[in-house]
Amino acid sequence: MTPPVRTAPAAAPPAVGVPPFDQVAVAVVPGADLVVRLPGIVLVVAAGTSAPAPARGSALGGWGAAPAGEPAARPAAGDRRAGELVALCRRVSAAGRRAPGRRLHEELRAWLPTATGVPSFALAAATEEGLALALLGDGVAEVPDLGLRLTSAQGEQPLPDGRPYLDRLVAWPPAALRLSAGATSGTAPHPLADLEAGVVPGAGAVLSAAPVPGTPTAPAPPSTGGTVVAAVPTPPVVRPSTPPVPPAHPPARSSGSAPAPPAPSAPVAPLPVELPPPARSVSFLDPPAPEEVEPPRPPLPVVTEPQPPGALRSDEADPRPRVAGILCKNGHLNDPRVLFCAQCGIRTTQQTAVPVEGVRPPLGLLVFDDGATVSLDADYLLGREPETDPRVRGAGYRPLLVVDHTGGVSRHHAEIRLEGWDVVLTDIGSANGTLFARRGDLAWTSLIPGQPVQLLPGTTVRMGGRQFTFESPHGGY
Amino acid sequence: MSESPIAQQHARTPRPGDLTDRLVATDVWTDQMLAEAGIPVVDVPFVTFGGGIGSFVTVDYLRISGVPTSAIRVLTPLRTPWESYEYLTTVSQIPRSERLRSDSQSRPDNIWGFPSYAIAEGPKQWWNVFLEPIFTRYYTPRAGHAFTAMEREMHRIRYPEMVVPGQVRMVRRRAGGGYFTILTPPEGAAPTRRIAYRSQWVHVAVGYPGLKFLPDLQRYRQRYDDFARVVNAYEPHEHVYERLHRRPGTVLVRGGGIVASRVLQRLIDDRDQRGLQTQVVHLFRTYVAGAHGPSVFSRRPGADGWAYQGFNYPKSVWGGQLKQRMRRTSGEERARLYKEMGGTNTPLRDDWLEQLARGRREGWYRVVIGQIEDMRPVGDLVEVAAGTDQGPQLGTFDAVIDCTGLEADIREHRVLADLLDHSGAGRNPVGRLDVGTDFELLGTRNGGKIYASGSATLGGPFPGVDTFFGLQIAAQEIADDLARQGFVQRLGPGRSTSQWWKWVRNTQI
Repeated sequence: MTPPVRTAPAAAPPAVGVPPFDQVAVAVVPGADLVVRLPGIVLVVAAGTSAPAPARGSALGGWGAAPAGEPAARPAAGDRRAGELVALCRRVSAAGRRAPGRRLHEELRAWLPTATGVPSFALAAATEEGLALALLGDGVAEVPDLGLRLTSAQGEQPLPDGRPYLDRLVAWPPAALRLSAGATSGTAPHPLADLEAGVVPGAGAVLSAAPVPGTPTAPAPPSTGGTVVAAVPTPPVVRPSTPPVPPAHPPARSSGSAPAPPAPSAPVAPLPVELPPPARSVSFLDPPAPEEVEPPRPPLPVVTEPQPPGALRSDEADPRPRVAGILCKNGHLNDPRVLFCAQCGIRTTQQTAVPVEGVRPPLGLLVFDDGATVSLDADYLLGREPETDPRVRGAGYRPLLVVDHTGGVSRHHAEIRLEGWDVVLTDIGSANGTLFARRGDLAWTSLIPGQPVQLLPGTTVRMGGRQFTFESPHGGY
Repeated sequence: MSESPIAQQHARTPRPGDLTDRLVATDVWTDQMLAEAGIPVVDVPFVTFGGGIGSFVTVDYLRISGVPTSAIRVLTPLRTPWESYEYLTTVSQIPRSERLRSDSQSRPDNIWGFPSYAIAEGPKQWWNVFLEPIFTRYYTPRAGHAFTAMEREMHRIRYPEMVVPGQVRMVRRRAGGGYFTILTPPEGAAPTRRIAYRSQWVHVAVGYPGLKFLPDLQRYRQRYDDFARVVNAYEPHEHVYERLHRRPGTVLVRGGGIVASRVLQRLIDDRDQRGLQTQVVHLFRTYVAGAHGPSVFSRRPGADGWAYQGFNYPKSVWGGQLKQRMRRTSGEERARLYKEMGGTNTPLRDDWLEQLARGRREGWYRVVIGQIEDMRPVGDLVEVAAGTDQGPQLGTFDAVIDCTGLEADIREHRVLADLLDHSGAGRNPVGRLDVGTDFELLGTRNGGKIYASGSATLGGPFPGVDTFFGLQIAAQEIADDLARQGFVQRLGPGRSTSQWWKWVRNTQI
């Protein structure tokens, strides 16, 4: 049992983030093995190599003479095991698709000793902070650009029956990762090839993940079992101290012969996913780049004309509805009927009420029986499913969901409209009706459907088992 | 609501009979200038504008003294004299059923002050007024009582016949004596945009220039467009109580005056009657720990942050030695005396004392000394940063109720500013309109007189002008002065007695 190795977080600044596993492009190298991609898991498993060919019976009635040579494809015991392996991966992936890596490690450790004849495979699965690799038999995981290569023989804990097996947690390499189950293939996959999900034939899978810059990695959690946290033998892979700069354009495909670690060029180039651009280091001491220097602006004009008062200063572009009101001495728009300005408190009766148009302030608020308040700055449609009403979708009504456990609130129950400085309530054909009572009323009044009623401050409205009160700083007391 | 036609109407279409630039720029007008501008002129000897309780009390005095309704015009945008007053008392939690902070015999509807409110209310209150303030707290009338009594008197003196609805724009002196009062009637009520009232006497009773919400409150409203959680006590804020009823919450109350007392009482009444769990944090700017005052003879009790005083002013300003002393002083000395008796205070009432003591004991009423520095909405709450005597504090509240009703400067009122700029009116040591002992607006005399009463004249030789009793004293002085000029008969004992009987019998005059 190896003690978990911790990398000193101070020595290795966590500059490279973990790319989302399911957004990584997986290109399939042509070949005869199987490439499996499930959410959170990429698996390459050798097809039908480890099982002997079944004895061909001589009497295969009706098939005619036996053909010469090997049959093109034959059902193998290894393929059965491969099917079990895929099923296991599928199960683990379904259980936790975001980071199935650790779980998969444990399940494989439990399953592999019980199963014989499992074909070689190479597997990569997502974990919270990197990748979980599992290699069996001829399985290889390599990063050609960086010259890194892991085989099952490097595993610290072989299976009990002596088969070489490696399972490890590694960091995302900053270049393409290639998985294969032993088959070698010279043909590189097409740069646009991408397997999003499924099981296809192929000799290997190339995972090209450009690292997400800037996202700090979480500190490595203590490992379990025999796994070692981020202990990949070759040091340059693990947490490079400077974030690699991905090229701005898809790089020309280069053979991985001359790897240049600071600027790796991915063999499988353009990514189908939009990754954020890398953070650029900016020194505030250096003079800015010429394209960043802003041209000098002309000075702002000197204001000589009197400015419109505050309420009118908001220009015509303000989308909020406008209303005719009176201005107080200090330029606040008010309901023509109030005695004191709602903004500053000055008397509005002291000067001639000149009607002007301005942006309407909120006309009041609804206080619901559970203490929730709704500020009335737009028209509202109240109900159990207000968002399904065409008025909400088309005419600018805002939906106001009224949750009622007694079931007395209709899907579209009532609407509250702002008309000038008044707030108007209309029952829009609810099943159980709407009741209202003004302040001081002793009994409820039933609202006639379709007939609007003006809400005065203090009016309480009841719909189903819910009720709310309208209060307003405008319009009387 | 048809919105656009009104706006178009306003779009500077010159309507007949509007003010011209020449008129606005000229201090003294001739009849010719108004004729050229096409403004019709109405002749009436006495014009009062404002139309609140100040106008009402003055008109009441003149009518009882025998002035016919045809000789008086009240120019006002208000429907009833108490409309503005009732609005302010109602929103600041003194509805009709609650008690005002006023004396028993200060009756705006009864110039004699007898029978007083207490006597009218019933035998139980009679003893109270005999024993106060030593053995009992001061008697104060219910707001509703005052309003209904005023309504009765309003019809008795045929007040509605004298009312002309509209806004007064300005008062200017007339070449050859008298004044022009420019009225803007409501839209569509008159063929011309303005009407000029030519009179020998003008009475200015526009009341409080306005409230002045503190800058932080205005800033909060403009920045966050939130009128619901940070409110002033002088505006409708019933939704705050409504919300606390639905859901327990914490409220920050600011201020140490009577309105703060009333708001706290409302919060605690709701708490008691409805079984709420409201928590109250009370922010004092000035914490009064005990009795205070310059000498043993002018001290005010205080405790727990509050300064206590039965009425707005020390009782002696209405008729005692303080009234005499103020009458003789002027300038700096008077300003100093005003400062001495000023300061926010609240009456001592047993129910308040009991409620707050219980709150302190049970921990749901806490006091903080300091000032609000910043407010911002956080989710459904308001985050308040306050600088306190314990250092800066940060707290979140369901609502902030600001009970500081600072009065605005008189220049905030357009008519008063116009009087200062064009008609020769001046300011007194306290900064309000400068009036003499007969409430004449000093410096405006022009073959007639402009009188002023009410809050705008605070700082004059008579303190307490912004109270019911202060308005009555002003009305009496004005009526006496008008009697000296021959406009009315002095109200002698005989007429006074017969008029009192008419009042008792509610006979219309």
